[in-house]
Amino acid sequence: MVLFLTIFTLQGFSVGKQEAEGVKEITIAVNDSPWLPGLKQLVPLYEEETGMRINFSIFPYKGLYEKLTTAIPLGSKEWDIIFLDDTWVSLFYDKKYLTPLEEIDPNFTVDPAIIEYANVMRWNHDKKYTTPDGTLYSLPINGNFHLFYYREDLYKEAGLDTPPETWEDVKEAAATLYDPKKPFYGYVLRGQKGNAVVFNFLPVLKSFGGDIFVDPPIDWTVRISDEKAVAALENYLSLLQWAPPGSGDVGQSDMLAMLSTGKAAQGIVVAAAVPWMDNEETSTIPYKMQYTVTPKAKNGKHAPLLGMWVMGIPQSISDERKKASLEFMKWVTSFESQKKYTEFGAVPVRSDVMFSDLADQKEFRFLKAMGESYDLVTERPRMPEWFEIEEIMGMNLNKAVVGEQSAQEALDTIAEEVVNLLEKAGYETGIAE
Amino acid sequence: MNDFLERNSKYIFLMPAIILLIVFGFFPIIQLLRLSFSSFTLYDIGEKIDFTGFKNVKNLMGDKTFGQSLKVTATFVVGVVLVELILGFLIALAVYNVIKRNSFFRTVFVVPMMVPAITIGMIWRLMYNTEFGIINSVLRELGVISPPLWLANPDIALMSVMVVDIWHWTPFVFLLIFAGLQSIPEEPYEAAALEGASDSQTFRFITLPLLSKTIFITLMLRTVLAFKAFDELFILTSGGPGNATEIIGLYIYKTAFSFGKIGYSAFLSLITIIIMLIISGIFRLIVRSTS
Amino acid sequence: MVKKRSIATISIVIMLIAFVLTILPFLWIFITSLKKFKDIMSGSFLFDPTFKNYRSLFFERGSDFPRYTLNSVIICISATFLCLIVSSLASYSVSRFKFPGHLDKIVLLWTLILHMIHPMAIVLPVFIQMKTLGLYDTHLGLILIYATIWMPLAIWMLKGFIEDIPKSLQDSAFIDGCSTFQVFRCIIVPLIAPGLAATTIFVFIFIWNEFIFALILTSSVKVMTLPPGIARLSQQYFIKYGEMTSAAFFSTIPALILVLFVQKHIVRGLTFGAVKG
Repeated sequence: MVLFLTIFTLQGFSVGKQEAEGVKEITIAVNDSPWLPGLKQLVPLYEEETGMRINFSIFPYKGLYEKLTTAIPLGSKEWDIIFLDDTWVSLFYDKKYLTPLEEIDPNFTVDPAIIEYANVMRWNHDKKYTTPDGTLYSLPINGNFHLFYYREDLYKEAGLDTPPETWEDVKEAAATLYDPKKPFYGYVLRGQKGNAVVFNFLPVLKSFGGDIFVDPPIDWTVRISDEKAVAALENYLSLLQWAPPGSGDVGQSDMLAMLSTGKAAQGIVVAAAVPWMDNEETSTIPYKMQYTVTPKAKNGKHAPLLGMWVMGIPQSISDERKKASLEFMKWVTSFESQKKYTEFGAVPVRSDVMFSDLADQKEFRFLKAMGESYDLVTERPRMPEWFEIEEIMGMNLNKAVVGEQSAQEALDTIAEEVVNLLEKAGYETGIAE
Repeated sequence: MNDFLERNSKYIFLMPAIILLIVFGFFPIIQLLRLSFSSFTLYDIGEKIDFTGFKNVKNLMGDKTFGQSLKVTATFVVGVVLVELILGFLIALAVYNVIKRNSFFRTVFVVPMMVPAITIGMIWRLMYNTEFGIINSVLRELGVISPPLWLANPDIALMSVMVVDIWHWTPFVFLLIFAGLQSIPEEPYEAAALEGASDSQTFRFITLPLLSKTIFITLMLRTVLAFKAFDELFILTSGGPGNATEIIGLYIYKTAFSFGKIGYSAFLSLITIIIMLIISGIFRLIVRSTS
Repeated sequence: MVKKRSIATISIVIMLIAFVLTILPFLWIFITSLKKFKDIMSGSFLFDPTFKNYRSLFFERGSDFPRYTLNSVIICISATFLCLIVSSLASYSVSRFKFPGHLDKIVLLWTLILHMIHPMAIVLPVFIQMKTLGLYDTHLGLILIYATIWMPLAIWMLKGFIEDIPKSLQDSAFIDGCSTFQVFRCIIVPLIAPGLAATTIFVFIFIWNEFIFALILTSSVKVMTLPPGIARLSQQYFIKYGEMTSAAFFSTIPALILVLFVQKHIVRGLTFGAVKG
């Protein structure tokens, strides 16, 4: 009984203090991620400068989406800034859950050094897609995209040219470095069903000149089963011979572990994982990993895939709080802040940081690869049906990886099911010839 | 006053439960029903729930994945419940035989249940890992050249996942049956001993019948819980490889949150409940007819 | 004589095998919690043990885990307590008394249906309801919803144990002039003590490890419990196995304490309160 009453009274003193006089605190909804410690180290500098207190509402990654999609539409006032994965933006932009930044400050323009990331910050409500002329809704906070990780030391030892540029280069190295006795694998791919394999395969697909759709949002014709796509998938599957068995179950952290404990030579991995390769606690091969742009097919192009985060301001909070949030966002994306942010272990969102003197330091050598890649980045389609498409692709690509389907079969199934899905959702589409 | 309390005692005893049920157990169920017959999506949150009648039934008819998921769930539930029942029963008997009132072993055997499901999923995932996992490392030491791909091979993934569940929940069966054994009074045993009954006779004609209610309840509870399995598998395989381990809970979650089809997902939950009710109804009929 | 000995031997063998199989993975959890990441990933048996994982979770300034633990303790003890009281009262009345209009059967069916619903399916409605009632992100909110959700389990478990008590005992107590409550307290409760203990343990463990409602219905560190806290360690790119296993290991301690407590005090205490004859 006493316990009950105490708990009951303690509840009275929680939320509600925000809307009072001047804004003194900012609360950010974020997931527990490798770059959060970097952000946590950065904010005390803002707190000192402005006297504003920054609070973090930290959620597990598997949970932040559920949290945000249930709370924000119901007008939650808990958070001043929310962080969104780039595949979530279409829902929040389309339903206008975020405040257009130019509504808060009509004179606001995005600093040209901040990378556009395939228009992720802007949304065109008529075309229902992210376009260069769309309304500005967010700023990037984690500029994460794919890099190609490779063991430069082993390449040099074997007399191979560095850095590898095409898939032929990569395969040659994989075959040379593969040693089944140790075992040491020439390549590691992330074949786990779902988001994992799709994320790992898309840069390969696009590097052969293939894509899922012909030209979103204008032409939604599905071209995932055309010859370029088949060539890309067959290329991807050919890497299996030098990869660990059980690739169908390799997830992100397995892949990282294989690379950082010196069991595999190379692979497509996100830039955010770079610190793991040098950290004494997680790596047996510090400073030996090198980075470059993701490989392309001989007649293709480099196409690193985005896996980034943006930050936006909910519509439901007061104007005062919105202004405070925007000020913070401006500060955190400035050159000085981003430089420190990178030093603290996060991934910068500005190109000038990538060309600064930081790139010459051993710990930040990955910035050189980022500098070469940032204007080549591509994105996953920003549409509400993306998760279902990813599910279809994830299922069938995984089946191809474990050998249950051939490349052509997998892609044909994907094309058929995606067209079905989109037609039911009202899109004009078909399978490309 | 006391008279009033005493006369209505049975209602008073039931009242708190009814209050809780009405306040927290009523609205969600109604909402579930409403959602089941709507096409509510993640995009509609904050708006009213529409009514689309039996559209979801049509969706269900064309849903091959659901059928597959039901098959996987059935295999999973039957498999784990049977094994857990037998194992839990054996262990309970064994412990009871050796030390009737013991707390140490009881505590020890309960341990797997106490670990959060998410951690169990994580840790077993680590153990099953083809490259780094302890299981395969040990197998390699013993000379096995290519140890099985526990979670990547579609043929054995479901089995691997079932082993985890068995490890996790056998303690449940154990605890219940052990408590049941402890509740059996001494008298029937004394009488049987006096009559010179053998051990197996005592077991068959005294222990088993007296335990039958406990066994039945354990079976029912465990089955429902197995149907609701989610947390561990979410981490272990997320339903993969392919759909090999996609039990109903995972499919419902995916439909609701990944695809945003909250209405259809609610409908699937409704179907699952109906299936569970039918199964438990059949159970009770069987039990009633054999007793 | 021979038969008795062989049964005892078989029993001991079964017990030992079960013991080893049960403990091994748990031991592995403990060992992993002492390893650095690269040792975990290399799957080796030899390594440099370190307490860093525990230190960073519990002693580092700004770590939320101590608070998560406190929240879990408050919420779970209260919810278990509430659930068990409500359930044992309800269970007794439904098992032993007839109700007009089949009220008892309705309640039982209702609880059965509630029990069969996947938490996923009602997370959204419950969330909306909690917000409306002002119980979102509060300890009380979680306590009440947990007590309701696990009530079916408790009622059905206790029902079985109660029904095993011969009606004659109860009837003779009534004849002796005991009130319903006295019968409940002095006869029923002591006799179902082992069952009550088991049910308490179950309910507590389920609530302690509950994840999805804790995630959706809490937001601030002031209220969040351990399971979503532990889930934070499974990150987008990376699973922090070291910290997760230390959190998990730590998280089983309260449950262990409770089980020991329940066995020592509750069982004994209740049986001592029995009225014989």
